[in-house]
Amino acid sequence: MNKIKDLQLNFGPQHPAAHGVLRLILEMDGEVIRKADPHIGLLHRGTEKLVESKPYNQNIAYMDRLDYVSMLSNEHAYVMAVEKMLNLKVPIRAQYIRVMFDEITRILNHLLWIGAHALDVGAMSMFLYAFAEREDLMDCYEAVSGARLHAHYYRVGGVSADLPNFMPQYQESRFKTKKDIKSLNEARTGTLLDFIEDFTNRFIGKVDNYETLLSDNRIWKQRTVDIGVVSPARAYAMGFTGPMLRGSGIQWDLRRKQPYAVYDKMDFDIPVGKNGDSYDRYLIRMQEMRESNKIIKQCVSWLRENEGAVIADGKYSVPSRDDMKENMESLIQHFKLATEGYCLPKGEVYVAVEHPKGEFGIYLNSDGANKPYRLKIRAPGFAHISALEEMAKGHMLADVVAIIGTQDIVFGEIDR
Amino acid sequence: MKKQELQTKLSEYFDDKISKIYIQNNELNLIVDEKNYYDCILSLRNEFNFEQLIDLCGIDYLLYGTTHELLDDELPTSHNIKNDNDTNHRFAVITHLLSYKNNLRLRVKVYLSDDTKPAIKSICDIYSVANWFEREAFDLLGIDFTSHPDMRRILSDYGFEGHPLRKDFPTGGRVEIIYDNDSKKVKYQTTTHEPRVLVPRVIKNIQNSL
Repeated sequence: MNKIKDLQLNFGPQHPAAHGVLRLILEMDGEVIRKADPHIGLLHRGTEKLVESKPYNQNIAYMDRLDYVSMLSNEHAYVMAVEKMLNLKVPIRAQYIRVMFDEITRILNHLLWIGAHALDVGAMSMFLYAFAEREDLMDCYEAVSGARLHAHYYRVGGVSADLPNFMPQYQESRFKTKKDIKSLNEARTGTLLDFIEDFTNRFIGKVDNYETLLSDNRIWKQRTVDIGVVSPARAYAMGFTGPMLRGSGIQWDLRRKQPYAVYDKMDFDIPVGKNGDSYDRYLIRMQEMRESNKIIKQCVSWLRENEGAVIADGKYSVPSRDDMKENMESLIQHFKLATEGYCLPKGEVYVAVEHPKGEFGIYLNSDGANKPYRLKIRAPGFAHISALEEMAKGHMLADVVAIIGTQDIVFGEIDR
Repeated sequence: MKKQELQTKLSEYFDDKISKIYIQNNELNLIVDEKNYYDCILSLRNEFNFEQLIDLCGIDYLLYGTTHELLDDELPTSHNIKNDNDTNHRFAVITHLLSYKNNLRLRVKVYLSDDTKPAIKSICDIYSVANWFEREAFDLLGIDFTSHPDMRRILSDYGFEGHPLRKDFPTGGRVEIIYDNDSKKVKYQTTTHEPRVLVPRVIKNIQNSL
């Protein structure tokens, strides 16, 4: 019988399990991976080049489009970099709002991850469950910024607007009867904070539900336990951060070790794995959702009791529309920001945040101009996918899909 | 260990091997010469517990500190490069290291002496993650990393020409793709759009208050 050897397989870029546009050249011996060469860049939009020709404020919107499932975390890193250069103090209320939305973003990201990962491995229902909850969180995004995904909500020195004291409600239509509307709008009668609090109360049960579907599921365990094992030493060398690093048993979280915004005032735990396999990373992300839930609760109760400004003085952000129509100075400020922007002092900073996927960093080099001279985006996924070959070597073809899933790959940030 | 402590320790350890060590914006910076770069990174990992390479990127200083906007390929004839180290090297490689043990970050900068064919020794065998970061720096800025095992383009298209993050590369690109109705084929041609500046570059000397 002829033995089939060294089969070359082209996986993607149009493959549903390639999480967007990953092209993977696999060299296989039968069904065992011998070599994996990821070809990235199919979603390259040149963000780093584009930001060099635009003033600082206009670049915030580009950050949304990097990792397009954790938009506000990206923005947070960028505005923090500019604030660090300007030595700008952000009002405490704005910091709480940012932390709350960072954690909402983390849940959004992890929900998409669990949905897509389970779908890749063969559990269709998880995707539907996860997306039902995402809907509510995207409504929170919409309530504060008007956009469901690319929020553009953070500003240099704070956030664009305070939290609204109402929550948009469903309207009656030919698809939704009066009876449906009533139950759908039940949580939406109060303020946005009421809605978020209601969400945190029911979400904790949902996470437990997801775990009953997966944690002890035989198929799920067969597909994830001992798949893509990474030792702590290799995790350092391969540049792993976030849940990928913690999965290998390293206790490290920037929210705790190098706290930014008001994370030092928050009470939360950092889950750490033991074996460094896909299953551990799954458990960590599930636990992280619970911890994020805890942080959101703390932010909600603080925000209820404390009023205050949400943007720093200093004319780095566009004034409100009303103000602009009535106040000469605000009109001038608006005009200056639109035609010139503001200049940063000469120098360089590196700012990193604990993004849902790992360490998301912004290296900003300014020569004193109104535009960044060089902006390097350090995307966590870039380092993770560069380790794909090492993680997949010796595994079966089907496990490659599980490994891509466990890395939580999103091409917006990798290709930039 | 604090930044200042590390600063004194590093300057004692490396002595004349590094050209500058300073703290700016509350961040520790280290400038090394091209020839000492590899050894320096190696000792930073082995002796100073910098377990991880967080980031590696290149930078092109061609228009640093000027308000000039290059809209096409034309270079200003009497242009002198002056980078942020007050030298006239055009390219630099910037690495960000992170020490988990000491919870410290360090930026290592190396200015490349050759402006036309910038090259530096690869640090892939010290940190595996450098492999892709160096490929990216090569792709976007044309910096060659010698002894790199797999120096290919990474982000740009197959068959792409030029290095897009260089300051003399137009933002709109040099070629565009069209469908040629006569030959019924998709083909490349020189870009047809007019380059433009929406907000001109302005430089104001603001003193950093940190």
